[in-house]
Amino acid sequence: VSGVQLLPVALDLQLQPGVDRRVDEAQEGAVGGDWYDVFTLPSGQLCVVMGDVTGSGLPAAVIMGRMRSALRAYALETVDPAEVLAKLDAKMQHFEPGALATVAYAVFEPGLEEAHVCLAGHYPPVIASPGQPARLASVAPGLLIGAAPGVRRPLTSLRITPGTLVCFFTDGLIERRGQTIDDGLDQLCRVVTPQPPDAACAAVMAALVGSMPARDDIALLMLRRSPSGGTQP
Amino acid sequence: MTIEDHEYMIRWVGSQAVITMPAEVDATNADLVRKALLSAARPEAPVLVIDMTRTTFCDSAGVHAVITAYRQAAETGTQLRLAATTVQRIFTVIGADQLMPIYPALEAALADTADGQASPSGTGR
Repeated sequence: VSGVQLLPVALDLQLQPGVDRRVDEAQEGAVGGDWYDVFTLPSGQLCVVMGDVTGSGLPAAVIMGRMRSALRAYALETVDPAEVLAKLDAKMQHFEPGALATVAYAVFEPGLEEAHVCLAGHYPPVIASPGQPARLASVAPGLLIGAAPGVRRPLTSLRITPGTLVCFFTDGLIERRGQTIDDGLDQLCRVVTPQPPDAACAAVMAALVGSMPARDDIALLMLRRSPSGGTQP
Repeated sequence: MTIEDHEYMIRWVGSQAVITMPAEVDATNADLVRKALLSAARPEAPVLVIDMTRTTFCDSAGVHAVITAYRQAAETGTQLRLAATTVQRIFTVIGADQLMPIYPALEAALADTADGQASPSGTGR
């Protein structure tokens, strides 16, 4: 097993001022089912997607690519994140029967002061605000994509205070043999701090992955609202 | 029958079938687990309890096996129940409690109803 490959990804995206973000991906093979996406809507809202297609290799990567495109298309059509995931689920169940995937989809207001989050079987983001310990965001769970037809997922709105860091991740980051998921989540919360995303990502990867060979894909995406407020255009 | 097959043997507690999952479920054994679950989720079993209380590791391949069993069980009319301790969090995060009741102990899963006819309301959600 070869070592972890770190692939920092530069997004060719003009983000609003006051928004920092950083993405790290570590993959065991060349392709996998984890994906992330960051894009803006015509309204100026910023959309963040973190997803994980069950399976590995090319088959998972192909489905992942289709989901990524489909979600973007539905995001343009429908403002409500829960509706976007419902459409994505229906599309998957019709065209990719048997496939399963988890998705976290968040729509941030311009300036990042609020996020509307809908989960499909995915972990909620970790939130780190200045002066407070980081915690798993309190977001109602929703059923993963591909499991059952006609499911409605709850939508949760989160206030993002100035200087707050929001950290999305896939399960490969916290799943370890010999420890529980709760142990992994606690460890993640201990190392996420509201610093610039570059440094925060590096700290998390060093603490949770280090030189250990990854068994699963890992994706990590962080955004931070500007400490000075960052609501000005 | 190999030792590995033996791990997935189904036993009956009254009218409830119980299938015991191995300590770890991942890509290396998920296919065996899926086949065992599919063979257990048959019309003869009104209730199938998936016992993961001894399971300490379950990745997305294991989740896929359980959800695949749910799909078949929904067709055959078998009511699935999941008993899980260490890996319970994984199944609540994926929203599996919307598909089947989840219990913190095998005894609780078995005790819920004797005949499998009652609805799982009040548990697992």
